[in-house]
Formats: sequence, structure tokens, C-alpha cells
Amino acid sequence: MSNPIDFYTIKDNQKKEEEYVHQVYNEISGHFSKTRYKPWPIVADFLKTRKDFSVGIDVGCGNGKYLQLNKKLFILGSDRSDGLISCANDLMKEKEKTKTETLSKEELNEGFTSMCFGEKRCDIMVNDGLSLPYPNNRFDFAISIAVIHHFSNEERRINAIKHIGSKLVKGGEALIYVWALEQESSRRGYDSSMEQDILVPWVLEGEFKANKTENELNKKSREGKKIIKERSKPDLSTVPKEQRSEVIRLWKEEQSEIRRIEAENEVKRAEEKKQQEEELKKKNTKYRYYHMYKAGELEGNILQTGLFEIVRAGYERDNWWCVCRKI
Amino acid sequence: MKLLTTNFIKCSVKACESSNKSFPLKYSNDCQLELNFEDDDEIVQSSYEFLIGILDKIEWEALLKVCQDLGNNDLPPNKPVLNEDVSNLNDNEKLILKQLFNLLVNTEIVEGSMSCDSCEHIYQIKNGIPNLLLPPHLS
Repeated sequence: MSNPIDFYTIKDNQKKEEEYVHQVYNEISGHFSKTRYKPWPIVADFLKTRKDFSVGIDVGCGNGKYLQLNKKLFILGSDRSDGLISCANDLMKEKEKTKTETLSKEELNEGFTSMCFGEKRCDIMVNDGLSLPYPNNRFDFAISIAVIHHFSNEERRINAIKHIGSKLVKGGEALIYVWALEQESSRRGYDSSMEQDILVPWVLEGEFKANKTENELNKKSREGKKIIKERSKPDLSTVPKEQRSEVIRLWKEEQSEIRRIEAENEVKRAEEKKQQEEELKKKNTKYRYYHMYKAGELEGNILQTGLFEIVRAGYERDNWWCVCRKI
Repeated sequence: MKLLTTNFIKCSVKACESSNKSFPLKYSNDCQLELNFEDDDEIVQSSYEFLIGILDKIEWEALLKVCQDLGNNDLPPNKPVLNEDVSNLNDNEKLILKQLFNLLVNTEIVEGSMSCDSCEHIYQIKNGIPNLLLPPHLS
């Protein structure tokens, strides 16, 4: 369970990533994938402008939304999360036989190459970004979109970029996107003075949400509520006259005790409900680790690999991006 | 996983990086293959263009080896040289392209395993998806 407090006690970087990136993506993959379908323009443009019939890799492809944008490319997409790769597989399988366009009318109008799923020219697999199973110096291009920021120290981030570079041919280009620390205009309101290594909550919603707490799941079907037979008056028909006032007094006492217990239970139930709601909210909130990049930091990391020169770089939608060329 | 993909993946183990035995991987003979026939003329045509286009990138020796693993010995021993104009192919070229199309693009390995000739680590393919992750002691 990814608890935000535990994170800071973990010293091992691989363990941090295992618990606060890999496991979380597997837990949220279904919901996450549903929110990731529109290609970002700069990524689409990068793919559109590759040389015809070149071969590339998408490192951290998620649900595979960029794999079928240009039918004159062959792209191998991979992700560390088998949950996300399984989403990518379902999305492809769903439409593979239908010969439906993978692009919307607007995107076709914007000049993207059309591809229908019947001519799938990509493949997907589960692998690790620091041990990519690809021959070195073999690929014409690479993309890695919103991935490098999940590595939990600078050395690992630089190594991840360097590892991608090792797979490219000389002159091959890579497009890398990372989350920006500077996003004053977004609802998150992060700014350059803030902590760069953070946990970002993902709240599961709708069909992806858990509706029962662990407690409720473990409990067998609830006992039926006891119906307390309440009479508006005590039955005095068999009571001798002289004892009736005493019986009524006792009955009234008993009634007020019942009401007191009932009121107590009411408070207890309300507390329980509140507790359950909090527990559920906790259960449906998953924390992912991010390193938020500052202006210039991505280019710095790329240059430190010693493998690349910068072609162009910029900021788009709360992200820093950079196209670099292997030298 | 498409057969074309086998030409671009090797062992994930760092120590195998320098070994020429880690590519291509060795495909077990219990691999289940699925052939999807494609007869839509437009798709066949564009697929031929695609194949001629990426033939350059294919390592023929590796392809022959993988095909042998999977029980197919029909490919020519040397990489064919094809006319780049897809509308101007001779019968022999058309035949080779059709064969490559069925083999590289339409054939998928849906279940099975592959292993590294260098370290002998075995990777599984399930539901058409290869898993190249390594156990902790190897990563």
C-alpha cells in the first residue's frame, strides 16, 4: 500500500520506484488509461516528421496512444507496468480487425498520416527502462513521454536517458518529456520555489473505485437489525390497581433508557460511517513519485549523458520537452 | 508479438550486452503461432510498401535463425533485393513480398517462451505480450 509517510523512510531507490511508481501504475492502470487518449501535438508532430520506414522505440508507452500515429514507421512500445501494457493490448485488439481509423477527423485534417488498425505496425512488451532488451545502435528514433521524472534520483534519470541513447543510431533523434515544476497556471499551482521530489495523489473514480473498506470486505453479511418491539403504553390489564403507578414508573424509566441507548448508537453509527468514508478515500488515493523538472534541468541531464546534442527544447502544458540528437 | 519484432529484441541482462549470443533470442519450439490473413487490397498494398521500406533495417541472419527455431525454412538464404516501386514488381518479387508479409507482419507469437543463448535466461510470451523484465537478482 502506498502510504505517503512511508515513502520518506525508504532509502533504496529501486524500492521507492517499485512501491511508488510501478505498483501504483498497476493499481490505477484501467482508470489512468481511460484518461490518456489524445496525442500531444509536439509528440504527434515529432512522429509525423520521422523519415519514412524508420524504426523507433517508445520507452514508457503507457496505453500505447502514440504507437499508431504514422503508418510508415515501425515502433516498439514498452512499459514497466504490465497493467498498462495490458490496457494497450486491449485497445489495439478492440479495433485491430475493424479497419477503423486510429485518428480523429480533426487529426487527419491537421495532416497526420492515417492508419487503420488492420495494418498495425507496432508491438508492445513489458520491460525496464534501465535494461531495455534492444540491440545497441539500431533504432532511428526514440520517444519517452512523461517517464524519466519517475526515476528517483538524478543519477538514475541521467542513466535512463543514456540507456535510450545507446539504442539509437548515430544521428538518431529522441524526444523526451518530463513534468515541469513551473506550472503556475495549472490547478496544481506548483512554482519554481517548491520541493522538486514529490508524491502526487491519484484518486480512483467511478467504476475503478473501491466501494468497500477492508473491514466491510472481511465481515460476513451484516446481521439483520433487531427490531425492538415498542409499545406506546405498558400492558396493565393483568396488573392489580394498587401496583399500576409503580409499573408505569418502571416502564417510563425503561423507555428513557432505551432512548438513551438508541441515541448513543446513533452517534456511534455516524462516527463509524465517517471513519469508513475516510478509510475509503485513503484506499482510493494512490501516490506516485515524481521529480518535477526545473527550467534547463532536462537539457542539463541530456548533455550529461555525453551522447547527445540538443536540437530544440520547450515548454508545453506543464511539461518541459527536448528533442536531442545522438552524436 | 509479431515475428518482425524478434529482429529487434535481445536479452535484457546487462552482462549479455557485449555477447553476440544474446541476439536474436532463441524461440522455443512450443511457441504457438497465429496467422492473420489480410486480404484488404489497400492494406496489402501499403504493407508491401512498408516491407520494402524497412527491409533495409532487417538483419537477415537473425531472421533466418528465428524462423528456423519456429520451424520455417522457406526464406531465401540471402536478403532479397527488391524493386522500390511497389507497382512495378515482377512475379518473383511479388511472391517474396507476400511471403514476408505473412511471416513478418501477419504472424504473431501468442504463447511461448524465448531464451538467451548466452545466459540462458527464459522470457515468457503470454497473450501475445512478451515480458522482458528480469528477476531482482539479475537486474
